[in-house]
Amino acid sequence: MAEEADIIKRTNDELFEREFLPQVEALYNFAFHLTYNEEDANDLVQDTFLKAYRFINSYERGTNAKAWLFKILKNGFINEYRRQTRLPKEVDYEEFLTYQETDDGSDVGELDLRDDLFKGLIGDEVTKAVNELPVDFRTVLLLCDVEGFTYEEIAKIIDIPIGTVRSRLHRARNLMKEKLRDYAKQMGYKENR
Amino acid sequence: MQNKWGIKKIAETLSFKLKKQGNMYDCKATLTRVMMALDGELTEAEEKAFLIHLHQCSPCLKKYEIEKSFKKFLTEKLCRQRIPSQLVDQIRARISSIAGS
Repeated sequence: MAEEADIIKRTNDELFEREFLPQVEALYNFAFHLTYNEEDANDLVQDTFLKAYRFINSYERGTNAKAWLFKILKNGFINEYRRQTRLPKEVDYEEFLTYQETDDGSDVGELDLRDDLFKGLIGDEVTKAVNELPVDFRTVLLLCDVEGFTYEEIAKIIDIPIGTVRSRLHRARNLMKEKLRDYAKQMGYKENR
Repeated sequence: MQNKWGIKKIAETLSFKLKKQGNMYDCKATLTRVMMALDGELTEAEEKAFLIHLHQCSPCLKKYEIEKSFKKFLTEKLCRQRIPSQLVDQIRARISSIAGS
């Protein structure tokens, strides 16, 4: 019996090292953009790995370990961190989003990065802009544009329909364009080239 | 302008076949699919019809290129944060403390 338990433990440890730990950078980046705080991101990632190890038997081998870990992290954030941030209650955007499911590209116009106005925009401003997005929009944007998850994977990670993933992404990108355009104008990059 | 994805070449190859099938997109159908195209969410048939339209319509191609560079810009600028140096060790230590008990 003891031998059997040893084998199980060793197999689980191997799985943890091989499939889970290599995702630490991606998870930390996601956690950082959710919490906007290094210490909280650190705690959130550690808790995520502890939960993953504890529930390792409910992970189906051969399935998407990264998506599974992201789901644990996102749930941990919702349950433990989000309620501490004392942010005003999230507006329910779903209702007004449903009618603009499709991207006709015309609602906020385009953000043409070839325009001189945007030449000086740097990473800090983009990080700032993304952190100002409501968390529901920030999440889909990071999962899609930074981590490269498919809509289907994102839908599973955050438990929303694929249509909602699409409409949130559309809205998130439009909000980013508006913010970046505002920053670029405020900072007068046009003059400084 | 050189296109990295070789849109023109692909479109030319497929254009004749799809025209025959009547599988074509107009500007509206194309523009509603720009985001999904960039996210790799179109089916093969949709992607073909999409690329053909881009090849034939420079205003749509321009919009597509603008959106493509915006997505690329976001991806590059939101690049990974450096992880704290002790994070992995801390995780391993906490795991071995629960695993060993």
